[in-house]
Amino acid sequence: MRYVKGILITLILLIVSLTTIVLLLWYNLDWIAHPDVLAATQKRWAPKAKVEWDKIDIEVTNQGFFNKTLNLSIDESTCIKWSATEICIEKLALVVPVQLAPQFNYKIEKLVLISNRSHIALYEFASGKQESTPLNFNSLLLTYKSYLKQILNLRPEDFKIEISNSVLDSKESQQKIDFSIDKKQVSLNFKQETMQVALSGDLSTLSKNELALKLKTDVKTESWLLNTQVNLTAKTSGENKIDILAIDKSKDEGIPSFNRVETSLDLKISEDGSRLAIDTFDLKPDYGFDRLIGKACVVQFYSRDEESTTWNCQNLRVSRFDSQQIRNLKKEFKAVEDMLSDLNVKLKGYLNEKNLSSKEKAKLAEVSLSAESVKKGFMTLDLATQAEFFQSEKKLSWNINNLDTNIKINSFQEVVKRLKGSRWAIPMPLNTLDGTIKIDVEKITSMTSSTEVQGQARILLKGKGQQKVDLTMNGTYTHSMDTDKRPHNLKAVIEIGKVSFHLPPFDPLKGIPSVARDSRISTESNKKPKEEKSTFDYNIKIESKSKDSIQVFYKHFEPYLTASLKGELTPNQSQFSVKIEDPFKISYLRREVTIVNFVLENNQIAKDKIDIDGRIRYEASGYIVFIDVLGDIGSPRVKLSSQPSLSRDDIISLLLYKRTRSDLTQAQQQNVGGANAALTDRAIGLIGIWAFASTPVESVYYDSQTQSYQAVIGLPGEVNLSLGTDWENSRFVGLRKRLSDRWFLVTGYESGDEQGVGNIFLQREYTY
Amino acid sequence: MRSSFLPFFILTLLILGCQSKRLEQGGESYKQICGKYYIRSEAYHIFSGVSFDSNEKILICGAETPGWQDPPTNQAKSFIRNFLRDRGLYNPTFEQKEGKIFIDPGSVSEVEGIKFHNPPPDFFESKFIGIDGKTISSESLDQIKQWTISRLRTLSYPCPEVSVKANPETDQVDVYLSPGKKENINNLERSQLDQLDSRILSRFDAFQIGDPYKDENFILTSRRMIVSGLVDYSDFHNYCGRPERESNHFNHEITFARPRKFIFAIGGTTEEYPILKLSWEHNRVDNKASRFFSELYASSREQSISSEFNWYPFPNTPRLHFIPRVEVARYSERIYEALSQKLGMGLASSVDTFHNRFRWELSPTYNVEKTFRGEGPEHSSFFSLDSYLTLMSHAFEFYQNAPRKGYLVDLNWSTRQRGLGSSIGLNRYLLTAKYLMNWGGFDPPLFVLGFRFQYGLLDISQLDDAPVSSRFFLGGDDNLRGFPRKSLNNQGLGYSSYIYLGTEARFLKVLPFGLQPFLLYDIAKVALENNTFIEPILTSAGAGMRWQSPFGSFRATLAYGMIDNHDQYALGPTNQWKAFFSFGKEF
Repeated sequence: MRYVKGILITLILLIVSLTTIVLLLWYNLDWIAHPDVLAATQKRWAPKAKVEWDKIDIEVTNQGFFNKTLNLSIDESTCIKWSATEICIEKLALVVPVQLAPQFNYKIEKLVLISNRSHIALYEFASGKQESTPLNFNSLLLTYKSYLKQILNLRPEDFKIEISNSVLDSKESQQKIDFSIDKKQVSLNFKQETMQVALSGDLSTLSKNELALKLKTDVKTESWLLNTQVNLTAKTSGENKIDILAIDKSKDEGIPSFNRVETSLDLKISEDGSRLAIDTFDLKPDYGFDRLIGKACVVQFYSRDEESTTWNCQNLRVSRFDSQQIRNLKKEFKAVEDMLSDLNVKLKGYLNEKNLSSKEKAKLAEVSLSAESVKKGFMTLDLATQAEFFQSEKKLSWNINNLDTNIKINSFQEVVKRLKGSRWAIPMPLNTLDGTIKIDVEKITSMTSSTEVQGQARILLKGKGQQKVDLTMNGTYTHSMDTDKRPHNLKAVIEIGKVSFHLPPFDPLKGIPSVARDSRISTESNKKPKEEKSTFDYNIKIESKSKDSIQVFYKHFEPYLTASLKGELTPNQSQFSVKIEDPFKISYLRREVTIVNFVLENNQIAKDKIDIDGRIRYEASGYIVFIDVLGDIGSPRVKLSSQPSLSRDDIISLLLYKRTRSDLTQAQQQNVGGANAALTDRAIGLIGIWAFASTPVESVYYDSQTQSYQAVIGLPGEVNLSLGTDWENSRFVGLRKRLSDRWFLVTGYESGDEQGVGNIFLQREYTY
Repeated sequence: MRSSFLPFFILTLLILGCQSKRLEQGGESYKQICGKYYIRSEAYHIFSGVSFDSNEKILICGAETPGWQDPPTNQAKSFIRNFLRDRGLYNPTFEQKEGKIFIDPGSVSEVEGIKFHNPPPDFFESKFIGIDGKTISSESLDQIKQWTISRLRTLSYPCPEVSVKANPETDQVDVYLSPGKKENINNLERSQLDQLDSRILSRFDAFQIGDPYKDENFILTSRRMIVSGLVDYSDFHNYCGRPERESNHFNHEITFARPRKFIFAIGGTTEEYPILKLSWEHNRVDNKASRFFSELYASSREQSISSEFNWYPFPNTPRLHFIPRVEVARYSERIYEALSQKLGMGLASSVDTFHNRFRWELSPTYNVEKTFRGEGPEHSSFFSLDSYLTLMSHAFEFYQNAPRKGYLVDLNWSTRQRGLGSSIGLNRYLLTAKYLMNWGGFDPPLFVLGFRFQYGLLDISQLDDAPVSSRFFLGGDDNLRGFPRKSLNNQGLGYSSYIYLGTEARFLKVLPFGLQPFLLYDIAKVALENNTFIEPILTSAGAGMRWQSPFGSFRATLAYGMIDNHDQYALGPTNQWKAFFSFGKEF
């Protein structure tokens, strides 16, 4: 029992002693934080570390039993070393009141840290690995933001941190950091070998629970893509709105640039900073368009590997597409604007940051884009594409790996209506047509120096009367990466299923209106412009499906003209061939001729000339006359033949007067002679030949010196249409004016010996 | 019928003109083209401003034909711009107001200058001014091109190539010439004629084979053939740009007229009216195109019947021909009345060089003349030898319808010898010459200066023995234009000799409507005996007006005739004003 009692007393004394010791230590924590104690502890547990504990003043004061205040101060410069890591502190003042019970709490009352030199070997802190991951700019910014937020949340009353000449060492690279923050301002300078980022901002208290952070970020990098200055305005709580103004600073250095982008984003950033929800965005670049407003896109960032960032933007909607050019275009561009504003766009891709500064050609980014029209209006677009971007020596190149695009105009009349009144209004007769136009991009092939796109377009339009357009185009477009070596190229085949249209109801006697400018009259200098190397090459073939693919309706055609077309267009030359194989009649002014066949095609030698080969048939007085028109269309050769066979003069006589020469008056015979000479001299073009064959010609006058002819055409109702004669310049007609077939007005002068007389006679002539 | 139709026609035009819708806009008057398009034009002028034809209006405002109902505004504007360009209007402006489009056509661009590039030597001897002040249009450029081609062909370049460009901002026209090669007429192809010897065509040639090519000479040849009645149509052309023929290869195309022609005509001359003419001719009597011509002529002053046969018997000398002719004529002039009967056999030929035509004719004639009234023997019959020499430049002949340059020299010698079928000996000489020059070489001419000279001599011992038709009378449109026709007649006796020089300065472009005023001055002296000219100088000074009508030229002159020392020499008329009006007649 005595032993039991003795043990109990000993235990009580021990407990009291321990309690006394604990209480003494509790009230004198300085004993534990004594430099010698800390030095011994550090020597025991961290023998590699070197700390000058005597320069560190640690004081703990008691405000109550459970309330303590930790005062940590360094007033004399000292460095803490751990293997390759060294942190040198000029000054440290840390005051942290701590509440131990009933619950643990602390706050930083004062934090002043001034460091002028440090070297942190990050790889020494890596757990389980000998080598740390290389430094990542993106992760660093996120870390910075995380710590900054924590610091700001602590809200010390007396607050100042100045860290300069700090080096983060990851063995492979070193990054220098200068950081300072106080209650009003914060700044961070982050410098890598190829990149320098500077952030600075004003801090101010907006309300009790809200802290505004205005950051100005200045990024300098050797990569031309990021050589920009970005201004950010952000709120760290509430509706995380960030305004971004990106100004290209490389412009003055002659580097290709994007000019200026101003963006306003509504952001919702997840805690780990890897998810960005864009409620709305407002892009205001200086080029292309003024404003692009969109909404509803969530961008998910995550690391694809150690050097790149992958992002995904789903359901991007462009709600407004605004530009000065569009405002100038007004309604012309409304259709396209509407279509673009009606798109559901999905964007995803990744950015390889490492290659931003690569001096050799390297893949920079990969972007996948898909878009589709939400509403099925008059114009719809379905698009899916994937593109790769490369940068090399400050040049951006791209390569489309996959493209599947369909553009469909569901109502051509809607296009006509939208463009009506604008300078791009669809001209007549096309503006009366309605139907669909569909463009399909079928295949895309990416090669080292070019990208090849294959596609098809189909135009199917109809209109009143016989109007119809049915065209199919298959083509390949090759986009060259280097136009100095090889131009862009388009190869296409247009197949004419049917092109059918009406000619306006022109009166042939009044001539065809001058719808084209006389190329001889121009305000441009006559000097030949310097030849520039073309960056676009093309080869377009046009083919008709059948011999009647082209149909032309005109009031004097019976029933209508049918033709086929075959052609090939290249920058250097254009070749075409128009064939009329089905006979049709032309009825005009009591005459009827039949166009048996015609072929129009380029001259193979003289490329600017057009050859014609055709036959016209005319029937009169029991004869069938064939007019074969051959050679250059401007001055064709005319071969005349007839059944039964007649002389050339008689055939011309039949053409002009429906009877042979033996039945003509003298004046009419003169006209036959004139027409013959004009035809022989090829002075009469195709229109003139048609006029001779299809209209009742009263007279023909031909002047071989100027190779010009004038004809008088008889109209119904005994009315004569005279093309007029310049009597002063008329060299043949002289003093003889024909009043009718047989009556003439003749003036003359008869010279006598010394007296001549002028005379005037009304004369009727009979010849036989 | 026509006179009643004219007022109706004018009234219709007035009504149509008034129906053209007009609007006032910004103080300007606008005329409706069609639809919503209005073009500025002067108010109250029916025909003022730009007008568009029905085909052009179809493209501006549309038509009922499918596809062409509703031209978009921009397309219509583009068409209007092109149509206005055709009219020399290159700066139209468009203003849209209240659903209408008002067009100000702007000012007309006119040709201020023409620059010829690469002209050959002598090209600028003729200066083209035919387009000055005209609008810059396709038509004007065609005219410039045609003139240039014509000019180069005159300079022996048969195959020139010419391109024209105009700049309406500077109002300048550039003409680019490629004259090609000068050619001679070495290879002339004439088609074989069915019924005629093709060699006979060369009688009309205004050139020789081997001469330099000159298009004017070809035209002159064709004109001679047409005037002769042998052909309806004649034309020369070559094979420019055709590989199968060389450019010095020329082809002559003709269309023969019918050989026989009967003409009935009524009319008048400056001297007499009315006149009735009946004629018959056959221009292909044989295979060498010999021509027979017969005419019946009746007027108050002359009644005649005549026949003439131009007989070409030698195919190797196609110009040499005989001219048997017979004529019976009765003349009733103011100073005499006579009957003349002639039977002659002429021999004639001609030669053409590059610049001139020379023709001669020798015609022995038996004459029977009766004088019923006036001076001279009452009855005479005699043989005479009439000869004619003519030198005419091709330029004079070419521009006969609108005289501007060249010369003509005519010498007529008529002789009869006593004892050779004649009771008296007589030589009558008449030399006439004309010279015209285009001052400055402008084309068309601005100023034509003309001179004419006449010298007549009647070599006979006694003037009284000479038939009245052989004597010389002055006054009239052909010499002294200040005196009435044949009024200077020595009391009806006539003169044995005279010398005359006349000049005329004609201004072609000073008045509108083709009116050409001119100044004239004539001077002459006369002789009562052979070459013994009497003292007074006869002069005429005045002015006139010429108008080139579609039927020939009309001329009017007003001149003051003056005689020095009129009182001393009783020549008949006194100093006086005299007006003449003529047609078809030139200086």
